Formats: sequence, C-alpha cells, structure tokens
Amino acid sequence: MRNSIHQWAVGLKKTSVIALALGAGLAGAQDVGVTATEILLGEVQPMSGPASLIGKAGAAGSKLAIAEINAKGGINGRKLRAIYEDDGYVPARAVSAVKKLIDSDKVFALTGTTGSSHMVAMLPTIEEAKIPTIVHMAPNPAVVSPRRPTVFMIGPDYDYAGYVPVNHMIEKMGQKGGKFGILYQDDDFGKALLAGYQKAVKQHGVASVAEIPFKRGAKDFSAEVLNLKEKGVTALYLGTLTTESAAVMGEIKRLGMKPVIGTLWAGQLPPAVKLAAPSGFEYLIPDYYASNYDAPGVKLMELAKKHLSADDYDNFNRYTVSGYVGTIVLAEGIRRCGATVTRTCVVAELNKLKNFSTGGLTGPVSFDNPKAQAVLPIKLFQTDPKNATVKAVTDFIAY
Amino acid sequence: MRTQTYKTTYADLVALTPHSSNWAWALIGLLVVASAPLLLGSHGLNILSAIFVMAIGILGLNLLTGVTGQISLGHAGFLLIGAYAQAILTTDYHLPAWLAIFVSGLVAAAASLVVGVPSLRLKGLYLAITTLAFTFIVRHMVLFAEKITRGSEGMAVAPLNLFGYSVKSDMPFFYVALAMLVLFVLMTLNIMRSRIGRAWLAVRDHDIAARAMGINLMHYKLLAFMVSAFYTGVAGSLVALQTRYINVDTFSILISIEALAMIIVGGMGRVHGALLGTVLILLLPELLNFGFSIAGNRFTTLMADRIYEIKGLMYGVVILLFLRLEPEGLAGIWRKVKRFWVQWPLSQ
Repeated sequence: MRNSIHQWAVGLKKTSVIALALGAGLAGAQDVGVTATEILLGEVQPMSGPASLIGKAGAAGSKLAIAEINAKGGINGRKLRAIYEDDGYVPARAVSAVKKLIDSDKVFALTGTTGSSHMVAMLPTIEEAKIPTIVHMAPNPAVVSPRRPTVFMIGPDYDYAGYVPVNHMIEKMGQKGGKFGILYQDDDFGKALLAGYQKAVKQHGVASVAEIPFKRGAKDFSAEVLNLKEKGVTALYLGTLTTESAAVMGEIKRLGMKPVIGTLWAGQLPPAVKLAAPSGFEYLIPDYYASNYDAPGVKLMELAKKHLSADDYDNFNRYTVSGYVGTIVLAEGIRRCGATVTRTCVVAELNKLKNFSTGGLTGPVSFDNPKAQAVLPIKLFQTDPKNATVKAVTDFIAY
Repeated sequence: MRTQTYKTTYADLVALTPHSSNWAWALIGLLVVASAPLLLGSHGLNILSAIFVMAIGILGLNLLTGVTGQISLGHAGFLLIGAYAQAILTTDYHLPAWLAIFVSGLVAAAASLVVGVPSLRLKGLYLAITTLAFTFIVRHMVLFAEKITRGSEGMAVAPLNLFGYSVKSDMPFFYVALAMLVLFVLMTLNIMRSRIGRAWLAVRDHDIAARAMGINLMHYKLLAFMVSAFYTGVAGSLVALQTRYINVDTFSILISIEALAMIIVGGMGRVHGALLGTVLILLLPELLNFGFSIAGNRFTTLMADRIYEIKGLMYGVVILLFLRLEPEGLAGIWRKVKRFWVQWPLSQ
C-alpha cells in the first residue's frame, strides 16, 4: 500500500514536471499577439488631419501586403491581421494609440509609425515594451541614434534627398556653370536637406548663390523667390512640401524665371504633382520607393485593385509602397522564425536581414548594420506637367 | 424621500455642499475612480489620465466662458504655453518638475493679459476671433523662437519626480493627475462660492447691472482670464508630463473648439457639467470604436477609413442634440435624474 502510494506520488511528480515543461515549451513557442492561426500587427497612422493623405496610403500599403500574404496561406500557417490606430498627426495621440495597441490590443509588432516627431514621442513606450518595430515612412535619424534594439528603419537620411537631385542637375542637366540656390525649412529636417545640397555643390565646385531658410507653416514665398531672382539662380532645390512647392513654383513662373528645379520625395505625391503642374516645371524628385507611375509601382497598383477597397485604392501613392514594403520586411523576419514566432526571434532575424528583395519597389533592404537602418539606393523621377504624372530618369542608385 | 433644502443662515447658503452626505458620495466616487488601476491596463489609465488633465483645463474654460460669459477660442494657446513652460523650465532652468507645474500655470496666466485686456472692450464673436488669433500667434511664436522652444523639432520633457520617485509609468501618473483634478475641483467650488465667483456670475448675467452694483468689470474680467489661463496652463504642463514630448502639432486650434464643445455638452457654468462634458467628449472616440467593433468587421473597416469624418460628425451631432434637446447639458440631465430619485414618488 505504502509502495503504491509512493509510486503514485513519484508518477504524479514526473507527470507534473513533463506537463510544466510542455507548458513552458508551448508558452515559449508563441509570444504576445501570436496564436496558432494568427499574428496580430499594429499601426499608428495619421488617418485624419493634415497628413491623412500619407496615413491612409500607408495603411492601404500594409493592408495590401497582408492581403497578399494571407491569400498565399499566411506565414507558416498563420494569417496576418493588423489594427490601425489614427493619431490625427498629433504626437500626444500617437503615444496614446501605441499604448492601446501594445496594452489593450496586445499586438505582436508595429509596422506603421506615423511622422518623425510622433515616432520620437512613441519611442519610450516602444522601447519599454521591447516590441519589434519597422519605421518606413519618416526616416528620422533620431529614431536609430542611439540604436534601439527592437527598432528598424527603412530609408536613407534626409541629406540624400538634397544631394541626389543637385548632383544630377550638375552632371546630367548642364548646370556645371549654373548658379545654385536652395529654399529650406529652418529646422533639423531642412538643415539635413541643406547639408546634402551643400555636399553636392562643394563636391562639384559649383556656385551656391542663395541658401534661404523659411519657417515651418510659411505660405507666402514671394520675398524668397524675389531674392532668388535677384541672385540669378539657374538651378534651385526646394526643401518644401506639397502645397509649399506648388506655391513657390507658381511664384517663380510669375516672375518669369526658368530654373531647373529639384525637390524631395513628397514631391511625387499625385496631389503635389497636380498642384505644381500649372506652373509647367519638369522638376526632379529623388525617392527610395518606386513611383506609382513606373513599372514596379504600376504592378503593385494592379495588385491593389485586386485586394483593396475602392477607397484604399484611391489613396495609392508612394506611402502605399512604403506601407507595403514595411510589412513584407517584417513578414520576412517572422517567416524566418518558422513555427516558433517570438519577438526575440523576429528581432534577431531582422538584425540579420541582408539584401532582401522587394520586387523592384526599392533597392535591397539590409538591417545588418550598427544602426539597423536600411539606407536604400535612390531613384530619380521627373514630372511631366502636361499629363500631371512622373517618369523615372534613373534606376535605383546607391550614393 | 429627502425634503426640499431649506437654508436658514448665510453660512448654509455658501456651504461647499448642501448636504453632508454629498461628501460621503464624493468620497465613494473618488475611491471607485482611484481603484481603476485594478481593472484597467496601461491604455485605459492613459485615457483616464488624459481626461483628468483635460478636465482641469475645461474647469478653467468653464470659469471664463460658463461662469463669466467671456467666450474663448484661445485655450489651445494657453495649453501650449503651459506645456512649453514646463518643458523649458525643467530642461533649461532645472526647476523641479512639480514646482514647474504651478509656475507654468502662472506663465499662462501672465500671457492671458494679451487677450484679457482687449476683452474689456470686446464681446461675443469679436472676442472669439481675438482669442482665436491669440492661438495662431502663440503657435507661430513657438516656431520662430527656435532658440528657446526648439522650433518645429519639439522638446522632450523630463518626467515628474516626487519624493525621489520618477513618475514615468501610467499608474503613478494616473494618481498624480487625479490628485491635481481633485485639487482644482475644490479650488473651483471655493472660488464659485466666494465674492469673486458671484461677481463673475453677475458680469455674465448683465455686466452693466453688475457695474451698477459696484463690481469693477476690468478687474473681474481680467481676473477671470488669468484664473482660467492658470488652470489651462497647469493642464498644459500635465499634458507635457504625460506625453514627455511636445511640439506645436499637439496644440491645434481644434482643441479650443473641442474644449468649448465639452462645456456646452456638459452644461455651461457648472463644475460637474464641465467634468461630465470632458468625460463624454474624450470618451466618444472610444465609445464609437467599441460600438463599431460590436457591429462587426464591415463597420470597423468603415471606422478605420472614415474615422475623422465620423468623429467630426459625431461632435456636431452630439452638440446639436444637446442644444436642441437639453440646453442645460449633462448637468441638466444629472439634476433631473437626481430630483427624480430624491423626490420619488412625488417627482414628476
């Protein structure tokens, strides 16, 4: 009797140990936001407010990638699902939204992280939660300097946006003897563009006759443009965003100037191209994402037509490409983990990511560098004001 | 059934609460709210903290617009001033964060003189436009005074440090925000029953008659602006401490309009109205999200795509409904429900 009780107790002990080990194993096999059939992702996007054009397009890109992945059976048998939170382009709301995603919705990873300052505001929460995060929309250097172990950024620093078009104007557009000028926003973003511009003019030894800052929110550029005219500028870099660029070009046309113009990536947004079209300038746009007017972009649009709602399809622009690329890059990290999907594993796999192909939508994506920043090669586009479209003038080139 | 309240002394008339049982109910309510961390996670506490912080500012706006009758669309500006004062005082002048909260309120109060002085000659729409312009001016000044404010780059804000304990996470901040709200509610109730509060009510109801009774209009209108801005400045500093990062995008003109919506929906001139209005308007998006999630995927998708439009629409609809059906706002509903409950079965 005593023996049988002892044997029973030993058996129970062994069973308990095995059960605990199995339980621990199973618990270790999946992380927060991961079930046997689903992996939950989260995005904070400016779906409303002044930047809704960007946020809605970014979310549409993510939806497209998820629909495509799920249509092929998901990742190792698990479907992807995403929750999109609107921050109205307000940093305080971005913080609240990311807390909701992490704490209430219990997402596994983040793929959309709204604007630059918003991302900076969210960083403490993201770092605290140690959640894998792909920043693909606003490559702010402050996000990866210092390095955050779970944060990965796609996109080159802003100075490339200043350097590439100016370099092209000098080398390919007969501006070796030209007089260069720049209008830039008087903040870190603008100063990064100025640094890229200055690098190009210094490298080629051309004259920079006007470097004019303006304050964020400025709407009237008549004084600045008059200044450019007085200095005899023949090649101009505009560190302006959508509506500002159109305002400056309108003023340049009004004063009868005919400079060669370059601007940054936001210049290829369809509304920006349409707004600037009446001024008639064929301006240059650098971008590390494909345009929705060139082949890889058009192919993605066809896919979008198949998988997205009419509303989402209407929002298609470079930020859709951005959202799509951000999601497939994260998906690749998840895929490489196999059946055991944990945040630790995905972060480790993303850290090893090298020359990941996005099907021509960008250059190869690599995070295997100290900052975990994919400094992508840049393609140059030029607008066609008659048709209010853009066309590629170079392939993706690493600078 | 409780009978009508009869007041036989002046002290009864100006007592903070008409019945001692009110204190007991208030304490129970406070305990229930204070136990929220037992039920809510980080996100829920974050929302409640945001409500408490905003409620402080709304109490201030209510004193100015609801009690004194001076409309303001400039409170986003005061909020911004409070937040930036908190960031600058703690980062550049190394003032303790707890002290900076109150100094930020004082900075906003001083800035309110810019709109307070014109208010002496302006009323209604003209005052609304002047105060709206104030917000534009403040936002642009922040962008231009880059050496002080870091311009559009924004500023990181040092966390609050109390008794050597850093208030970084959501739960401690929740209690700080709750304590501040309780403090400001008590302050407001006391102001309302003082000579100042009664003078403000007189100015609102008929300023010429108030002057005839010996109320110095300039003094009391300016005081209303300064006290209101102080509240909002403190709320701004708490916004900065909660987010720990600020830039001008956080303080859009829309905040001033939302703030007005809160006191209209809550019930102008009532302390509990201001609180209820804040809770309802700030919880509206969450309630909508919840409602749409119950309604199914199709509606959730619609919400994701059209959230801004729906939210804007809902604000409009809620305000319209209150103006049309219950001009006294939530405070009016509260009064009617209470009367029904207390006077039952004689209530109508």
